Amino acid sequence: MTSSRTHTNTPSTSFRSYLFGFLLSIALTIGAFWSAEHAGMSAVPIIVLLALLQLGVQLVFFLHLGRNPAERSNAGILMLTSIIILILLGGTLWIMQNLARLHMHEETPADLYQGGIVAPQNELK
Amino acid sequence: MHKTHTQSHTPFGMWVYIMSDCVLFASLFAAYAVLHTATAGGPQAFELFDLHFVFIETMLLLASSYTCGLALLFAHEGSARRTGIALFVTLILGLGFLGMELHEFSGLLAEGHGPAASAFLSSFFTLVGTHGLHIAAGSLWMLALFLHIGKNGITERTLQSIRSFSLFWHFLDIVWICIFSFVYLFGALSL
Repeated sequence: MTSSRTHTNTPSTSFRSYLFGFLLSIALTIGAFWSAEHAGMSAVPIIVLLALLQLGVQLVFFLHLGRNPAERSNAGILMLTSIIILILLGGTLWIMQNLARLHMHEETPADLYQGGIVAPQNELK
Repeated sequence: MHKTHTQSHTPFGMWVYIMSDCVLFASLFAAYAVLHTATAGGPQAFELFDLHFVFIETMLLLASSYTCGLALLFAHEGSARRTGIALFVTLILGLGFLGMELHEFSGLLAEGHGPAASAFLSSFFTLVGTHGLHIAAGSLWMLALFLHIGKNGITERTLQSIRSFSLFWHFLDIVWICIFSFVYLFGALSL
């Protein structure tokens, strides 16, 4: 089989890189669970950071992203998907929080309006 | 040689599917993020989740992701027997994970905290259940791979299937990382 020859890594380094990635993600997981139980509220940024690190570890060591020049299109699609996900998540939270804010308060939407005033001649009679 | 063209590349179509699945999970995460405080007076996340249980689930899935990677490496070496063994271990770990998840779900249902109890629980069951369904589908896929490898050995086609499968399985691991971080750990902090 010629498959392993076209790989940028020899098989033994691939095995090693998988094991390294595996051990790294176990360490990151233990860190995240430990901080959730012991670090109180300061655990929030730690958990977010460890989750992002773990995503990176899995993409590099398990999915071998970016190692192979022929897989650049995959990395490009991943980037576009990340942008879509950010818009989806950020947009949802933004809109729904606004909605919740407008519904929670006694104020009417007009009181919350922070734009300019309507010119007198345009005001509804 | 024309074989070397498709070699060791992640199958493009599979990658596109994975990315669209990412968007599916992102939508479910967004729904959970919006609804997780809507408990309708019922229990909140930190009252329901057992972190030690989730930790063991996570370890099972991480280990299965590793053995799945090993299966791909063995397949590259052309060893059908080792590939089969690594896939078998992956299957056992995956089923172990699925069993634990079903156990958690049935426990919640038995105590009356089913998906109909509150918007929080609806979004929780949808998000985690969708991931569980993917794991179940992946387990079926592994069974199909066993038949495939048993019948044909490691050919270019089986190798391609194993590549697609390992991509799918690693992706599920990545989704689970987001689930345990933002659902279970944040839930335990009552965020």
